[in-house]
Amino acid sequence: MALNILIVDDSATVRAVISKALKLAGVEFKELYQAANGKEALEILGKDWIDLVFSDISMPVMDGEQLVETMKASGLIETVPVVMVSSAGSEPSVARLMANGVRDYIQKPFTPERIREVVDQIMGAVNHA
Amino acid sequence: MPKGVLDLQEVLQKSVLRVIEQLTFMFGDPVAKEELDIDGHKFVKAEMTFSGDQSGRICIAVPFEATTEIAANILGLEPEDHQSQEMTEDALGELLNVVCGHVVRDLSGAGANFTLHPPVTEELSATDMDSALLRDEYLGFELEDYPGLFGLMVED
Repeated sequence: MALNILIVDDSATVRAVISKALKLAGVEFKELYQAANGKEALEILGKDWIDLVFSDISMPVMDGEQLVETMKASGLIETVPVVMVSSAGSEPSVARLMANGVRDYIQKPFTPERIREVVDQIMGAVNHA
Repeated sequence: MPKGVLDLQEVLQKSVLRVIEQLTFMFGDPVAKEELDIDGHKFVKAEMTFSGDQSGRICIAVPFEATTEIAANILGLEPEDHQSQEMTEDALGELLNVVCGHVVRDLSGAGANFTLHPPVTEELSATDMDSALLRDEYLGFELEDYPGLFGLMVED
């Protein structure tokens, strides 16, 4: 199944690296959406069908924790899996995110294989649910 | 040099060099600041703060040419491929962001509560560079053949 994937990070470099890692990992996607912060991500989520979100934690305007809290409050986190990609994963912060419905956490620097593993695990579970 | 500063520099050296190698495939070595050859280079500095169980500030300064190579390596491009200055500075900021996460975890322990704040990049004047060379919280290094400085300041 080709996926619509949303990448949320204030760094254009990281968005490009995740895009490249998805391609190198052989993840089939229909469209790659990009947002520079949680607010932009919510706008995209409100307009387009997204299958999977990769999001940074520390971002200006609206950070990853606020994005996840908003998605939880609206129930969106139940239908759109979110994976955090960050170097800033303090254990209490990651625990809060997982408690709010985040499916997985990828620590930078990461490999395409790690991206593939997470996509397979999450989308496999979604497809078999 | 105060002992606290020396300990922080040891953590910084290990975390910084390991992450740079993993992220950019560029190899770095610590170098005494007085041995750095900074003449003729225009430096770019990335700086960011962190807060939580431990709070402070971390920065990296490298020549502009090094940011082009760092960005190319992170993005999997050739150094001669055109990249905007905005993109190369963004890549330097991202490198520091990843370094900072590892440094803070090394300093505070795995269970620490902390937040990293987005990096800011700017050109560094020759005067600022000379001033940084004199300060204890800055550590000299060479990244391939490029001279550079790392700074780490942790609040008590």
